[in-house]
Amino acid sequence: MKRRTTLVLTGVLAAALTVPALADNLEDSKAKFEEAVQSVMTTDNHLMMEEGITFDIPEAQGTAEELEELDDSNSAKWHYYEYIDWDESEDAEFPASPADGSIGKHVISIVHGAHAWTTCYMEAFEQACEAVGMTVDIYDPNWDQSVQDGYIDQAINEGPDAIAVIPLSADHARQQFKNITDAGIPAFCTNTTPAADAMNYILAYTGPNDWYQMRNLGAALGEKLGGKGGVAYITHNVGGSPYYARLYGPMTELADKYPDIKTLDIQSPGFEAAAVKQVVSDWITKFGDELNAIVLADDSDQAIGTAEAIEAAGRDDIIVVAAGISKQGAELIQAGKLYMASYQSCQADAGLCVRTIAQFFNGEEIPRVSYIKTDLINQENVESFLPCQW
Amino acid sequence: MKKMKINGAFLNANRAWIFLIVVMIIGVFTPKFYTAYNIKAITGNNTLFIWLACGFTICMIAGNMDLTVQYCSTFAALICLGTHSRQKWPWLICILVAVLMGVIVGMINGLLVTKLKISAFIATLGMQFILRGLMYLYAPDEQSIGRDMAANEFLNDKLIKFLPFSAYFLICLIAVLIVWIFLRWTRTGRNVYMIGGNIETAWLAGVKSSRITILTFVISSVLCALGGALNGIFSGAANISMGEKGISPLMIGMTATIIGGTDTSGGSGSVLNTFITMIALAFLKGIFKKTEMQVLVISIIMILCIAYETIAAFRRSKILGIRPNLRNEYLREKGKA
Repeated sequence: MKRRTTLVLTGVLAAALTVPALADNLEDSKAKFEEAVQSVMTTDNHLMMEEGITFDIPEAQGTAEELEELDDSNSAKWHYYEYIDWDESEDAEFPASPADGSIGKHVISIVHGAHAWTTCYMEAFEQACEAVGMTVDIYDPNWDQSVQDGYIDQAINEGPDAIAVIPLSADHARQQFKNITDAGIPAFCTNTTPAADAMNYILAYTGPNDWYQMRNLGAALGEKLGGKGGVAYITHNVGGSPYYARLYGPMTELADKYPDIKTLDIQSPGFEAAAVKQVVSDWITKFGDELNAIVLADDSDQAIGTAEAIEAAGRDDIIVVAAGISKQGAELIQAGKLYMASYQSCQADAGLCVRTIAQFFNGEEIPRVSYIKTDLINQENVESFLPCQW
Repeated sequence: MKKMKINGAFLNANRAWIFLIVVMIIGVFTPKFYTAYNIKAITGNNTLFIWLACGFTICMIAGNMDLTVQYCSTFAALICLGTHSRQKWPWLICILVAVLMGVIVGMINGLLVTKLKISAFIATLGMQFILRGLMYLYAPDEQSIGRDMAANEFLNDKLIKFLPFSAYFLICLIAVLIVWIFLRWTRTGRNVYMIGGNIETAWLAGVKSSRITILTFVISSVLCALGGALNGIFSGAANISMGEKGISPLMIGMTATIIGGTDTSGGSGSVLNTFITMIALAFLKGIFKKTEMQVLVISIIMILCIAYETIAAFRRSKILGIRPNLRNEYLREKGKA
């Protein structure tokens, strides 16, 4: 009897001490979060942890199979590529928010692979986590799908408070996030878009709205071309979400608004400047004056290769636009060799993910999908985006 | 009873097991290493490498290298998932089509090596590029193919859920045992060792070396194709660029073969030792979580194995021609017998 009383008293005492401690942690976390949102800046002097953009998804004009039959230049065809349009009734049972504050929480972030962008992202992720009192371990699978799958299993085994993943493949994402959610760990997807049905296992997606920014870039290019001319495209890695967004985003925008603009060719030479230079040189020889503009999926090495080919051929009339923005891209804009680039903040990408995770731990409602803000950069406003993040 | 002596030769002969034991001991000091989830995850994520390593081992025992193992498995996965999603064929037929591709690839490799007398390294390197080209032709705009989640979820979540490893790993284990029994206990299997050890002796003994060589390439490609196809089904998707950017599965397979004790010039080795080494490598990858460390540690181990073999071969070559009875007498005197 005496022992039981002691146990009950101990329990009550522990609860009495723990509950205020949790409440304090939550209050401290919220205060820290507010401070971080207001004070943590990107290296190009923008807020890193700003609120994301959310919007309602427009209705698809058919099933995925029906839309596949449409022409590539028809924007309706790409509905399921552009929007993460999933069936919410199929959602898995997500772990509930502990609502005890972000301070002291441990997150594992699994990126896609080594790149200057990734280094910048990882540093920003660590900085943002520190600002809200969380710790983070980051794993880099070096672009290898099986290594990323292994890291996800490893992360689940370590039992962190949350796991954030940049999926290497949209198709593999469902299985990856299913494993995390089934293990009772909050799963966050960031940067690259997953296949829509993967969202049934993803607590929240944050990242760039690649389609939106590339459509804007396409519209600006169409205007610059005066509504007519020939455009050629250098793509991202074939099959990934940036491949579709950065190719068919501007292409469909141009087709919608400027039907007289022709698509001359699409090539995927990768990210080596020399390979891109070769492709662009071939285009200049093959299409001659018909080639008026080039859309690039990357404003660093792809843009360098393109600028070199254009310079070598003496065709400075060719307008080049690219998804950006890197240090090389900004320099090319300043030099007048790149007409325009989209602004996709790498650090805000990391910041928005951390913001969403922290809000989850603080018991706040989080949007299932939110995007970072974007802009268009040209010679006139490039100064306000310097120094570049990566 | 034969007295067991622990010396360099003993350690070398059992290095796959020693490697596994050492890694397992290190695992004891690694937090959360011996959990059912971790063991299942580690074995599951590395099963494909076991298929490739065993395929590579068979060819190496026969004195050849098969550099197509990686692309053969990736292409098989693409074909298997592609025929299922595009042609809506049942899984069994899709697997058989993928395996048939493996048979064809193995036959071509074998014929190039035996009939055209092209070095296996060059022939399979060329075949590797052909497979790569075919893969991009087969799936031109797709990074990955497939996504039959129903099969994937059944296989991963429902089938033999009580075991600490996946059904995929179990199938692989059975395949390894079959190949091991074939190599060790059948005449054809012993002939594989004979042609790897000394092809002229094998010829004098009446072994049809060309046929055996082609057979080893076919077995290697079939193992890789079957492993790749099953990997595609179990993971739900097949990636066209698998292994092109991270640690190459071919390199992992080659490493497991060499550390497992297969002679790089052929004639000796065991798929079971390769399997044990592959498990040890998988555990090692689970211990050293960062890819950089994994690559570094695995490379060091492989270099140590190769260095030991080189030194041992040099020492063997020094005593060639010495009469065995005199040598044994000398060793007895020195207490080394």
